[in-house]
Amino acid sequence: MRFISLKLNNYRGIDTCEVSFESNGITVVQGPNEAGKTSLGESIGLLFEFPDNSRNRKVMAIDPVHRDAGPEIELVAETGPFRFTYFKRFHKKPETRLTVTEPVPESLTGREAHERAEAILRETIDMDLWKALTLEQGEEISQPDLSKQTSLSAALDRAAGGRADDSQSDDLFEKVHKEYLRYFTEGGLEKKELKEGAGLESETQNRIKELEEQISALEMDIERSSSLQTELSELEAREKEQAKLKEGYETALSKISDLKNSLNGALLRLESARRIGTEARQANDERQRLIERVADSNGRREELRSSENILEEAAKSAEKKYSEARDGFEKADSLKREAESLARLRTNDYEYYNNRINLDLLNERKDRIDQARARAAEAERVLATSHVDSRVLDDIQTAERVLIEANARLETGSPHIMLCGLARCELELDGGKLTLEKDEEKELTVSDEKRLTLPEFIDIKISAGSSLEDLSDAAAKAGKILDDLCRKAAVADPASARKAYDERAEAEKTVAGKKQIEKADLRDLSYEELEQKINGLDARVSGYLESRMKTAAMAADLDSAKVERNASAEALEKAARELERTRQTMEVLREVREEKNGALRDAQTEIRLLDERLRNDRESLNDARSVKNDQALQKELEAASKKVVEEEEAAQAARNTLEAENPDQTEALAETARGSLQTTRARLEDVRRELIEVGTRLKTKGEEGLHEQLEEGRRQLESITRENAGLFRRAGAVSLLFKTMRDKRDESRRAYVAPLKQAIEHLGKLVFNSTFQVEIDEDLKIVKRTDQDITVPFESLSGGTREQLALIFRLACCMIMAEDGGAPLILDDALGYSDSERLKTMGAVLAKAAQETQIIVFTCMPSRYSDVGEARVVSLG
Amino acid sequence: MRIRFLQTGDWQLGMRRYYFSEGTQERYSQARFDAIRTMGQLADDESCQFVLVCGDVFESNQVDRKTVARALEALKEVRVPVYILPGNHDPLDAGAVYDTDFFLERKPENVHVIRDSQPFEPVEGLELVGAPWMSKRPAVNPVSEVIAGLPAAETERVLVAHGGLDKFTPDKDNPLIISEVELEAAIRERKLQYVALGDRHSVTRVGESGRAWYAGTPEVTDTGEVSSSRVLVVDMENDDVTVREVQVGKWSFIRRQIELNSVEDVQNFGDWLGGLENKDSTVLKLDLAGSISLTLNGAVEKNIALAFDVFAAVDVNDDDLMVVPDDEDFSDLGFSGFAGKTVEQLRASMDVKGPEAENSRDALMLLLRLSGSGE
Repeated sequence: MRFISLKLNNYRGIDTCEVSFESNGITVVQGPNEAGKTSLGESIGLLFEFPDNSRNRKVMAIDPVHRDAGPEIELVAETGPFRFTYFKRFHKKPETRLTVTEPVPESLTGREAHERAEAILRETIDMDLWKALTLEQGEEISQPDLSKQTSLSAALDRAAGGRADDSQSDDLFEKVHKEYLRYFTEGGLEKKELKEGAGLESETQNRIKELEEQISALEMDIERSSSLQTELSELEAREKEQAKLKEGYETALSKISDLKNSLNGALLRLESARRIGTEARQANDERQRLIERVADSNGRREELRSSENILEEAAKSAEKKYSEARDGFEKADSLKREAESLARLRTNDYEYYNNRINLDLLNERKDRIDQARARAAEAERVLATSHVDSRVLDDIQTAERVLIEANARLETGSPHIMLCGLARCELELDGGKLTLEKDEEKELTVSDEKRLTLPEFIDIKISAGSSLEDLSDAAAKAGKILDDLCRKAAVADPASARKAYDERAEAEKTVAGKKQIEKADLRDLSYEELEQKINGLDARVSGYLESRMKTAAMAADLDSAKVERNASAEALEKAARELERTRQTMEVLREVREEKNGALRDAQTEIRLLDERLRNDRESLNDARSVKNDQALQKELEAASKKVVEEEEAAQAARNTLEAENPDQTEALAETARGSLQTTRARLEDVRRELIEVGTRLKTKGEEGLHEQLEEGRRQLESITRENAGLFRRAGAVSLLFKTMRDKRDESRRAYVAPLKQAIEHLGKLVFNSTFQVEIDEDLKIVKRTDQDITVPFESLSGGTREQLALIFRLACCMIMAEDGGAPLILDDALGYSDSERLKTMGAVLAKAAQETQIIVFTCMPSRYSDVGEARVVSLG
Repeated sequence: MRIRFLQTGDWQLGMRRYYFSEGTQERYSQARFDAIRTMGQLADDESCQFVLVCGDVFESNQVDRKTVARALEALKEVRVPVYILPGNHDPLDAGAVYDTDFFLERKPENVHVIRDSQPFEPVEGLELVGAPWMSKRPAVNPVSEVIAGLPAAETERVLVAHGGLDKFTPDKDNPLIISEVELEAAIRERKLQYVALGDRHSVTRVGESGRAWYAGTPEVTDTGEVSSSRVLVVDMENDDVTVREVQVGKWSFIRRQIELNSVEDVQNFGDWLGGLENKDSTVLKLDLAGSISLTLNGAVEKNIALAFDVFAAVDVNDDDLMVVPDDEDFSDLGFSGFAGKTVEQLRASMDVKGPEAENSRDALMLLLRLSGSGE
């Protein structure tokens, strides 16, 4: 379709306005706001859609302001083979005129004109698609819903190489879909009818099952009743028979009972006879025993009397022997006691001597210790006063050697005087006396000066001279050192020092010796213990002799005491042995005595008892004989024995009669018959009770018409099953058809999406870049855009990009449909979101599309469309 | 002296047919009660002295009270004595309908249940001996037992019995089957002058003597029954027996195999259906066979749907009917686009046998219908 021109009169705020359009290409209708651009775009739709008398609010809204006139729209257009002028005046003097000039001129008015125009449009253009593609002012540019645009689908299908026939398929699919929704929800779930059908079938099946079970139970009861009836008849017959049998046995048992009583009477009589016989025999036996006992007792008494004398003699002899033995024992006992006393004394003596020796030894040890301790105390004192130890002694001896050497050197250098006694004489040397024996020689060394006086005769003074002075000084010095050391050591000279040293050494030895002595003599005792031991021994020793018994003389010494002790011990042992021997002898003899005395006592007791019994027996015998003599007893016994034999025969006869009746068997059979009858009656009772129970059940259940209910249930089930089968079959068929068709439609759409995608991408590459791609779904919507290898969902794109894509989408649709004549694309103030750069490229897109389709742009911003290439520009206002 | 009685049996009151709708079932049940009244009227018209019912008055001992009540109401209208023999469906066991208080309290005076095999005289000069079923599975054959105990008849003697005849039964070893030879022998030996039998739903003469007959059911119960919906009027006079069949039932059961291979066949089928009379009391059992296109199947289904509306009941077995879509089914419609592809796929899936193929066929049928050509 192409719009040639459009004219509006009295339309909203417009008095009159006419626009001619570029038939192939872009027409930009520009003008300020309220100049009528939107009205132009809007008016075409109203012209096509509404009859001139429409009261639709959209039509009502276009009435002119401040004018009482009807709004007029006149369009000159071409579509398919048709070229026409279509005029409408609404409301006021409404009028519709259609003037078709091609292919065949037509001129119509009124309703006819409207309908014809509709028919032409319907034949040549998809108005729904055209409306979907048209962009009105203020409308956000979004993707049109083209999923149900059959003409577009047809165009796309054709573009995809298919046939333009899916409009029929779509219609059919709609019908199938509608049919599908009779049975299923949009989500594919079964609707109530299907669900209830299955439910009802299941319910009926359950009811049938229940009825079958009830009938089965009923039939079992019927069979049970029959078998119970049979059993009842049998039981009743059996009961009768068993009762008769039982009665027969009861009669037999009664007879047996009588026979038993007879037998019992015979047995009682037999028992009585036997008792009498036994008593008679016992009485006889008793009499004989008594007679025999008296005789026995007499004989025995005589025997005992003779043995009593013998026993008396033996007892006396035994008593005597025992007495002698007891004397021997007592004597031995006395001797033993004496020997014990002596042995104790001798042992004490021996111990005395031993103690005394020990006391001496201990005293010696104590003395040694005491002495050692005294010496040690002395030595301690020496040690306390002596200062000459080995070091001091060495110092003194060294000083002494120095002095000797100095003196030697002095002496060697000093003058010597040799004195020779011619006779004994008394001299004075340096004031001291000097005796010189005859022929005695004495050398004197003058170290410094010496004065030798022969009293009363001569006084000789000898001086050493000066060369000896140093030597003398050295000697003097050495002497001084020695003297100092001796003084310090508190000794007079080296000899004293040596002596003091020796004494000190000796004292040290003494101190050491004391410890050894203490160790040797105390041994494991302390000194105090040693003393206590000595005191104890001393006490025992000192008082022993005084307190000692004087029965025997004291031994002279330890050895003799030991000999005495051993001798007394042996004597004691011997006495003890003798005592034991005599004791054993005495015991043996005492037992003999006891035995003899016992035998005598026993014999005497027996005689006494025998005498007593004999007397009693004799009395008893006499008494018994006085009551019944021996012959009478014998006769009674014979009579009783005879009676027993008679009664035994009678009892045996009764027993034979009873056994002939076989009482055990009869009793057992009678017992069995009673039990069987009882069992039969119990069973009869059970059967009758069960019959009543079964009968009651049959009565209640049997009249419920279960079989007919079951048959009716089965009939209903059959009916339901048939209906369900049909229902499910129809549902299955529509489900299969719907799903198959939907799949095929989707498949088909996927195929014809390709040309649309190709067209969009062809235009899009003018705006974006050469990598531009879109993804289009079966509902003909752009879902994703890929640009420079980045894929973004449509909804996530910016407003401007979305607007541009939506416009490109529309342009692509128009271009595809152009082959079928297409339809003009009307854009009212679109691209408001696009920047100037994009506007330029979008202008190129519009220019490209305009080569194939008519584009009409209404805008108040002409600059937006300054880059659309060649275009007709119409200014309003 | 002539004795005339009406012999019937196998009323099967309380019987249900699964393929009946509720309404049909009710009408069918009512027809069976109506047959009793018709028989009563016939007994009057024919001056029958009594009516002999040879077993299976009731479909079961456990029938609904309503069924019993309606039966007794109908029997009230019969003005001659009615002797009922318990059969294998309503034996005289512990659950017998004839022993229920309900039956006993409502039983009309003229109705008598034959409870044992003691001979009795319903009319002078005629001895009636029954062989009632005392349970569903009696230990011995009731007929054999009765015959064995009978002396030669001094008057006219009729045996009333129920059960299958060995001649018609494959299960010949079944002890409960009645022996034709035995009956013939008893008739020959003059133990019996007539044997009134029940169990077969078709009127059937037994043996060569003409003295033993199955009366059949007074109202047809299934297809395959020959001479049913009838009763017998039996005349006995001077050692002679005459038996007449009289129609009393109004329903018919028709079983027909329909070959459908062409437009003509479908047309004939439609014509045949249209030509049947008494449709509302006619039960159809159709066995469809052959091979037809979807379009023709649409026409067949249309006919059947119509039959469902007008006949008492229709039971269709189309297991042997092949429905194969051919190009003509769709050529007129010019299906193309995805609708055409849908048809192609469904036709392809019909090549495989089984439920899937049937579903595909149904889907195609539906498509045809929705496109306006299958109607």
